[in-house]
Order: sequence, then structure tokens, then C-alpha cells
Amino acid sequence: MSRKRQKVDPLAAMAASNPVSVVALAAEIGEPEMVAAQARALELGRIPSQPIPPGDRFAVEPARSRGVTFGLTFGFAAVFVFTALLLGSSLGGSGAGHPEFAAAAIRVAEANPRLLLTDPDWKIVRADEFEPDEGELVFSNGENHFDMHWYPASLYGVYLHDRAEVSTSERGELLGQSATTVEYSPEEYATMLAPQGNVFIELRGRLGSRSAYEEILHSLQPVDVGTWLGAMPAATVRPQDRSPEVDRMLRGIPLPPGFDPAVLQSESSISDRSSLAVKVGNAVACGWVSSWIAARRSGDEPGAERAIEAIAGAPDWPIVLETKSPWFSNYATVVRQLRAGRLDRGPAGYEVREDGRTFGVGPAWKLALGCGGTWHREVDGLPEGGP
Amino acid sequence: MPPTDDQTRGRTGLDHRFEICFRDNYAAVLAFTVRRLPDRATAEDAASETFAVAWRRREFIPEEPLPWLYGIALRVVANQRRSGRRRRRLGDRLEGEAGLWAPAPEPVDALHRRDAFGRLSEDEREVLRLVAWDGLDTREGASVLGCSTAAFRVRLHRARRKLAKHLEATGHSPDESPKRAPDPTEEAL
Repeated sequence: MSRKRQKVDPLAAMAASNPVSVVALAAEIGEPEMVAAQARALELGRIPSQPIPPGDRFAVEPARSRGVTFGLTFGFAAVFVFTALLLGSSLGGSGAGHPEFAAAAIRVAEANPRLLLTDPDWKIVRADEFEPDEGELVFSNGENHFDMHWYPASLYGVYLHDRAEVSTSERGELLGQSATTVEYSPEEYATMLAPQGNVFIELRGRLGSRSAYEEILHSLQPVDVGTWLGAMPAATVRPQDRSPEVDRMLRGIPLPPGFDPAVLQSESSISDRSSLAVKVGNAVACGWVSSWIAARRSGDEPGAERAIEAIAGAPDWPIVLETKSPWFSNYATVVRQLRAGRLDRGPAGYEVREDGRTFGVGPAWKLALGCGGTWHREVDGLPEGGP
Repeated sequence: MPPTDDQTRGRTGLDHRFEICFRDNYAAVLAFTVRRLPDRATAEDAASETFAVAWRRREFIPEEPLPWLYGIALRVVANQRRSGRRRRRLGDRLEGEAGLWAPAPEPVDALHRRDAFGRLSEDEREVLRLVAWDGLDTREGASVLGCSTAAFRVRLHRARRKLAKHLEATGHSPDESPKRAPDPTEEAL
């Protein structure tokens, strides 16, 4: 007997097969489960799933493992014998003897590992976002870069596990510390030192070859507080200057409703002045776009217009005029979209990983303004016509 | 350096905001992950990871957090599936198979639907899940996928048409067809 076929409503078919009802699930979750689940989320939340690369601190999904394996022999031998990493706790200094630096800067210096490259061609070109247990330095010889990051010691195991997915790990010794090296590519390597005190250090360089990497790696030397602070580039905003500097940067800029500069003003950080200016500008611009979204949703057309005009005035903001950072040109793109009433929430670009997986990165407007809440989303492939 | 009073107040406010977000939305997020992952334990892990990300970014929790949380959860689920595939390196199950319909009690014609559903691309399946299972409208679904509402509507229309075609090809019986579900695209189309 032939069966009569009908036009099926697929949404109804799917809805009827919904595996779980939220109402039923909510009724099933008791208070102890809820408390435990929240505690678990908070515990996980304090551990980054992946170290966030510089310049991408807000990425929701930083690059995952490259899936590259290689069979290096254990050839990473210790070259230096180092007495200590000279962490703050081991120094025991109070800053006395360094009258040229304010106490806040000395406290940051003492709390951080103070290693510098001894090769005179290599200078610090970027010193950003130092916290007592986290920070980054970028060295350059004018041609290549060498990065040094440090993170809370409590995260060492998490990072070690994560790096084990990059490539086979080689264990060795550096500066008297146990060191683990992985290969991102034949031109790029990273080395993690075992925790000392409150932090552990990760070094990373794309210097063209393993031997070039090791040469620079082995030129690291511990220095005292004065030498370390003195090596910071002139554009560094020191801790004691940060809050007034943020206030100064905000002058002459219309602030969105509810804007709170407190996070920007964290006094325990050392920042690059230019990146701090961009961060300040982004915080304001992101706040205005959020304000525009809220105004549109509530039908507040004057509010939406105020938001557009505020960002549209960015070329005249003092920090934009002062830094002349090309980053700020992104604002004009977003302003055009706001004026057209169509904010681009799609991917701003595509990233093809070494294993062939393709990720869309977005939403476009947040990347354009450096806002938080961006995503990497795996897609089937690059769109037709290329990214 | 200890935080200033203003910083402390700001932090406390953010923590409170997160707690409200968690309590209001945990069940929905857990349901979201249960619908997409093969077992409850994995789904609970994914829900925890979703809120872990939300906690890290609690200053960005929007007024209507659920689509935002779903957007995070979608990525977490994708990671869980990839991890699952790595664990099942020698496994013989198809990618994501268990997460398509299980562990729900299946209606009479579920096998037909599973087969039809499995013939769609993952993107198409996700659009349908967001609407039919998670109850999102096109605007919310678009925000989860990070596309425009118009693009989402087009994707939904195509996915729906393809699924209907596959269901018809499997000889779906009129008697087994449930009542028509609300269609979030109807107002706009």
C-alpha cells in the first residue's frame, strides 16, 4: 500500500522531539546543585582556558591547539646556571635606594620577574598591563620581537597542559629553572619556566630558527629594580601616573551613560601610553554603541542619535589628536553603520588554522572598536570569493 | 596594592550581577547544552564552562543575557564535541551523532527525523535547534550566531525547506505529524 505523503512542518517535528524542557530541568535542580554549579563555574572562571595573546585580551576563544606534532629529540640543554629569578619575595627590597622611582612603581617591579635581554641590540618596546602576578614585555632588535609574559603560579599546570597540545614538549633547564619548550613552527618557539614565587614565566619568539631562538633565550639575565624600571620605554605609564593619566585622557570626550572609568584606572598596572589611550577610547566608544543599541531597542531615537554623534566626534577627541593612532580610524566605519541603522554583527574576518579548520571572527563592530565579547566561531569554510 | 573603595564597589556590583545572571539562566543554559551533547555530565561541564566565561566577562553581561550566554555555550559545545572526537579517535560514531537528538525519548517517527536531520549541515541543524528547541526568535538567534536577522531568516528558511524535503523523502506519516509549531519568521516574512 502506498503511503500518502504530506507537507511536514519541520519546526513542529523538531519541537516535538525537544530533548529537554527548561521548566522540567529547573524543577529538577535543587538549591545544593545550584550552589555547587555556581561554585564550579567560578572556580573555572578564575582559570583561563587559554593564555590570551597580547592584543587579544577580550577574545572569547583564543587560538586553540595547533595540533602539530613533531619528534624532536631532547636537545634543549641548560646553558645558564642561575641563582634565582629575583622575584619580589626573594629580593625583600622596599624600594629604598631608588629615589627616582615612586613607591608604586617599585612595588610593581618587586612583584614581577625582572629579566632583561643582555644583547644591547634588544630593547623593550612595549611594557603593558603589569599586575603583581601578570604582565608582558616585548623586546625588539628592530627586526624581530621576543615576548616575555608572566602569569600567576597557580595557573602553571593549566598552561602546561594547554601547551602540550601545541607540540611534543621538551623539558630542560633555563636560568636554573625547569623549562618546557614547545614548537609552534620551525621558526617559532615558546618556553615556560616552572613557577618561582607567585608567578611563572613564558617566553616566546619567532626568530626564524631554533638556534636563533635559543641564542636570545639564553641572553636573559636578572637585573635589579632600578635597572629594570630604567629599561622601560619612555611611553610607559607607571602605576602612580595611571589614574590621573586616564582622567586626563578622558577630558574633552563625551562619556556614555553609566560610564565608569574605575577599571581603566587600576593603579597597579604599568601600561604603554599609546595602548592605554586606545583602551580609553575603545571603552568610551563601546559604551556609546551599547547605548545606541539600548536606545534603538527602547525606541529612544534622540538617545540613539546622541550616541552616533558622540562617536562621530572621535576625530576631535584629544587622545585621538595626540596619539594619531590609526586604530581610531575604525570608529568611522562603525559610525557609518550606525547612521545606516545596520550594525555589522557578522564576522570581521576568517582565520584558517593549521589543521584546516576555519573560524569566523566577530562580531565585526566589536572587533572594530576593541570591545569585549568577541567570538571565534568555526565555520564550514571560507565564503565564496574569499574572506 | 589593595583595590580602592570605588573599585571594590564596582567589583561587588559585577559579582552580584553575575550571580543574578547565573540563577536566572542556569537551567536554560544547561538545557541548551543537554540538547547538544551526548550525556548529562558532559552537558553540566559545558554549562559550567559557559558561566565561567560569563564570569570572566561579567562586566559585559547584557540586559538580556540569554542569547549572549547561548552564544558562549555554542562555542563551548563545539569544543566539547572536538574533545569528544579526539577521545574517540578510533571510534565508529559519526561526528556529533549522539548530540543530535539523544537523550530525549524519541517519538514514533524520530528515526525518520534523525535521518533527515542528519542530512543537513551542522550550520543548518544549529539554526533549527535554536528556533525549535531553544525557543529563540530570529533576532535572538541571529545574535547567538553573530549574523544579521535577515541572514538568520534566510538560513532558517533554507534549513527548514531542506529538512521538510528530507522528511517527506522518508515517508513521514500524516498521523504522526505533531501540531504546527510557532514560526518565528512569520511576522517578518
